[in-house]
Amino acid sequence: MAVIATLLPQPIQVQRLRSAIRDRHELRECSDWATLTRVCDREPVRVAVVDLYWQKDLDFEGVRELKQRLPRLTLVAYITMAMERGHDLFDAGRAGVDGLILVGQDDAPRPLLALIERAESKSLAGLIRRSLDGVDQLVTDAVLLAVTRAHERLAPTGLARLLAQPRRAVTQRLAAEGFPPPQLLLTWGRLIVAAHMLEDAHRSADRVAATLDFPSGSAFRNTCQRYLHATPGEIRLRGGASYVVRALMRQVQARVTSASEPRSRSPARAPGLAV
Amino acid sequence: MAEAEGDFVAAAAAYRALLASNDDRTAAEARFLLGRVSWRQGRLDAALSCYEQARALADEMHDKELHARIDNGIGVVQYARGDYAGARRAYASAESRTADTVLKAKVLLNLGVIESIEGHHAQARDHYHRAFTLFEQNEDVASATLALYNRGLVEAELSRWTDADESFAGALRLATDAENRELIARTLVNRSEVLVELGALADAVVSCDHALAIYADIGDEVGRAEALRWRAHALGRAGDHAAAERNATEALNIATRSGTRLLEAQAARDVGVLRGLLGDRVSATKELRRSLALFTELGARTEAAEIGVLLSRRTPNRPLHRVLFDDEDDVK
Repeated sequence: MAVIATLLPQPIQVQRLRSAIRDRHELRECSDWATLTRVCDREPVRVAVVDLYWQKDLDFEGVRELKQRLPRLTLVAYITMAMERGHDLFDAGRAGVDGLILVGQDDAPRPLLALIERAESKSLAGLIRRSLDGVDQLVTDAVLLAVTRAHERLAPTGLARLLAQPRRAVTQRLAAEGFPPPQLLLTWGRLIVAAHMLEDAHRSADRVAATLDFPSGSAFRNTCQRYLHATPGEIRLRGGASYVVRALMRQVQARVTSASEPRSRSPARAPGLAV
Repeated sequence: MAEAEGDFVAAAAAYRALLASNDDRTAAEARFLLGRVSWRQGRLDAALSCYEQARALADEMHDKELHARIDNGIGVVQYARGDYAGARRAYASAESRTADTVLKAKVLLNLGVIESIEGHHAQARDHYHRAFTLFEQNEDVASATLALYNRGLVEAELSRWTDADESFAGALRLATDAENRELIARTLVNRSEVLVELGALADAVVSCDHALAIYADIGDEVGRAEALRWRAHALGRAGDHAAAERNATEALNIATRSGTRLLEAQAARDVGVLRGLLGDRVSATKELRRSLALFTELGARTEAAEIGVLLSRRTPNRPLHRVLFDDEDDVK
């Protein structure tokens, strides 16, 4: 069960959030920004739902610092909309807020839950973008597309079309950065999203397989074994999406470093360097 | 902490947060650390750019020690690019600037890596040994572990199996104390080769099993393939060719999927030889040809020549396992 930290001054906001998430997640109510930061720092908090107007002066510096310190945290603003707040929302997006819930408009149980889930996948894309810092832009776009369109069963030709590049050029650019070819990359994208969904203990492997259009639950399990040598349960235990992203990046790194090693030395026999 | 655990995203985020610090020293240090994370991720251009920015700040502050550490970092990037002369120049610059014994030992260790690559194994061993002594005196356990591990590798190259076993055992002890799982796994895999040479075949398999569990846990498939390959090696030596073939085939599948071509070439060679031993000559020839093509493409001439010899023997005048596992000099 994931932990959601809240900084919501109105009891009605907390109530609505509780009825939306039911017993899927655990809530940690915080009374001020310092407590929220501490809770997010020390507990396995995945989402923070915050009323940006919890005190009179709006302070985006705190938001920026929190996102910088905890890049994996999904930050959702839950506010009452007023005309004069329009500019603030633009700034909130720039400061790193991943989702927005408007009081009285989006906080019916189902839309609220959907909004939190969407914000989480947006935040997942953010995590991947950060992992790809400094990588060829086309490669970054390809990886992000593989993740954000994981549910669409994108084919390599479709990916190339979205990137407006010939398929061969996409393959070459991916290879130059140590990434797998499009077909494999698309499977990695689906695995990252699947692992992210598995972080929610209530979702079964079969449900995840159906959502992501795997032919069957066992096909999904086989893919997990083939790419990660792990069952869906083990992927969940090892950290879900971040585990899969790390596994992909390890493989990329192994390819890059083995390319720079002498021709006859295998990666495991590379000596260590001290910096 | 995050960097040591291999969580480079979190480490980079933490270092980036320090870049805007009002304290110049903190900002310069953060740039240096960000460069080190980029190098660990294999992003050499980004690493070099961070190091150069950090060096400019270090010069402004007249901080010779930081400058020296950065030079050592630049040397490592040059090494990764294959520019060994450039790396030596950078290490010499670091060595001449610093008064810090630990940094001097790090330079010594990194120079040992170049010596080893250039085939000067005895010099490399001497460098590693001296570096280890200095690290030990200065209680830098992480670097001492690395020096022991490297010494084990080079001793294995020199076929000094007992020495290599001692070095790896020492590295394993230190890495276990520090809970450095990645280094534990790498040491276990390399030690398994030594154990095979010392005839401790069951221990070699256990060593690989332990490494396999760690690699599965940290999500390192390429590492798992290496461990499987060495497990196959130990099993093949023990005469269990069927089990060895299964392990080598799994290693080959992982290597193909992950695109690590050298590993693919090595695993294809192992599979080819093992299938030959099992009597499947068609499949054995196919895998050996695949291995030959890959080694040739990679420019690994010695390995390609070895496969060529294996392929040219239509009817080997003795069992293939002796060609690969017992008497390698004969095929070289």
